[in-house]
Amino acid sequence: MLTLFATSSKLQQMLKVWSGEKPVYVPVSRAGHRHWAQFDSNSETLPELDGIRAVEPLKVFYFRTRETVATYPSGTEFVDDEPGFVLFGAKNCDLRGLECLDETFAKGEIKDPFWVSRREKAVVIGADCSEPSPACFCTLLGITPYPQTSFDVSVAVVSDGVILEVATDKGKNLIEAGGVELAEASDEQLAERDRNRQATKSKVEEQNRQYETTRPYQELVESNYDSPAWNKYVGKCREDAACLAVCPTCHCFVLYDQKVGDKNERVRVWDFCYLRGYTRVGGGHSARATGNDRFKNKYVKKFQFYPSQFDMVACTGCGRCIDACLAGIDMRQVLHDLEESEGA
Amino acid sequence: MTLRRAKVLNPYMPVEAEILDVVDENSAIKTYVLKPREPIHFQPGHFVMAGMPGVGESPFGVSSSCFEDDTLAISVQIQPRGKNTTALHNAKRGETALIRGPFGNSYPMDYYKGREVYVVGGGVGMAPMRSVLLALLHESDKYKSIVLRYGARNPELRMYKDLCLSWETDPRIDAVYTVDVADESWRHNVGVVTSIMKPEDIKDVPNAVAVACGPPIMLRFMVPLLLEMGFKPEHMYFSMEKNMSCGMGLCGHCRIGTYYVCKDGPVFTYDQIRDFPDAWS
Repeated sequence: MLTLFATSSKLQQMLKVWSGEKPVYVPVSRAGHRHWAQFDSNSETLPELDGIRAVEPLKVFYFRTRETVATYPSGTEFVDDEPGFVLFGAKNCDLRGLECLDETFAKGEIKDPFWVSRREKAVVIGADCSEPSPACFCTLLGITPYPQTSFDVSVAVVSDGVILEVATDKGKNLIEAGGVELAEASDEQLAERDRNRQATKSKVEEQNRQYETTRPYQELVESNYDSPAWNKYVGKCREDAACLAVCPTCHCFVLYDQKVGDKNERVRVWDFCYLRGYTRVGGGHSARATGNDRFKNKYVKKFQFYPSQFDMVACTGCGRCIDACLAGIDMRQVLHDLEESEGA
Repeated sequence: MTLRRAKVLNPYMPVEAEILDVVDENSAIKTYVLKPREPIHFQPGHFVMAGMPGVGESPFGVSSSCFEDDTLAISVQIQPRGKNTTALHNAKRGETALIRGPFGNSYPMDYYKGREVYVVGGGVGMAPMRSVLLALLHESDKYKSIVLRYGARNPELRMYKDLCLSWETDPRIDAVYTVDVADESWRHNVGVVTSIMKPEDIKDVPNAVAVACGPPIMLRFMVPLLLEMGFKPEHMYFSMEKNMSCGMGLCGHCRIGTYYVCKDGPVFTYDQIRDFPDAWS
């Protein structure tokens, strides 16, 4: 794989060129948190490539919180006239999130054309993590805190600049379009990157020792549906669905129609299985009427349904659900408790 | 040479369908015969998303015969708080409804050939059973026998009354009816549907298939009885209607355990869904 080195000023130059073509989104800090923001070509500030993932999961760029998916009466052809975008600085937990959602939106018999088209047009640039937050647990899922797959280019911060690893033609074209001469990264620079990667990985591993389980999460959820270990959390869960909104793999939505002038719009809006209305039907019946059923549902979906249907768990260890939970519920602890209760 | 990109269809876009006929089944249920602008080819068990423009859509099992699929019928039970079912109930013949589908799997009718087919319908669950029965009767000589056990809450709330009446004297089908609560007009059994399911209904039970649709409570009581009668778990086919929203395995709503009802169902065998609590509640 081609690895190049870019100084900060060269990187800045490329970002300015790209952002003249299409929107470029980069991580920036606001009020103490990392967020995605559109790169401003007049700005002299660089994207913040260190640290961890942004508050918003990457799915928001492809699967919007609310959008019109059909206006009728009209033809049935799908047309996407958006120019696409560049995501600069996506962390591995988010890239894995895209892989999970590709299974749902892009690989089934009927595909979501919005997801597919945006995935095709977008150029994704991954970035290594540094300084994991206490909620980070990617390594428990066998995921590394640096990009491995599903990126076009990946960047790693080293002394005096960044290493750019080019993985696809799309990535190569983007770098070339940047119009800047780049030298290949030196062995020393690559060694520095690898040392950084190992150090971050060790930190994530170390902080998650206490949560390690001997059996995979899939088995724990499958064989412990009736375990008393759930009870301690069911009553605490406030069912605000914050964990689901920030999850990089949650994808539930609901469709509703509305009249707009002489047309009708079909709107798709995110929905969450922790909300009471989620399984309620017109007659008032609900398939998951109790908080107990709803609480476990997230775990069944991520650790039982996804492995069964797509041979992967739908959790990437990003830790957003832990940060977002007002009740302080830690998914790692829930899963750990399931295993501990087995012997009891 | 430039390759032209294949046309991509928008699966969220509904197709207009003319309401050819509206049949009042009872005070709560109407059957709509729809003629979609583009034909929808379906099999017994398939469901569609249907509704009125600007209002929304809901899932309905197709209730008509797959051998006449230039039109299709759905039966709609009005829900007092249901925006879409209320709009459908207000719709008249000649108006335009919206439809998407068909979605999901269907009953494996070919597998049923040469076997006794034991059909059980409960309440509005009779709708997809009607489609199954019409397909069975269309080729009745290919099946060893066709049995129907149909239960409703009371005589007024029964569906397809004329059709049911004709089946009473039809030699191709052994049909028995029941209601939970009778009135003076009722000449059949009184009791829940399981009260009219008898072991002697089926002769060669190891090879027979059961096909059922009804409310979760009916299924919960019916399952042990079917097992006691000797039906194999993999020969018990249920139409599981959950709150499908997209119909395409994308939106997540209709999941039961490791399946989506809209994509992997709505037809499941008992052995597939036995262990998932949300299938039975």
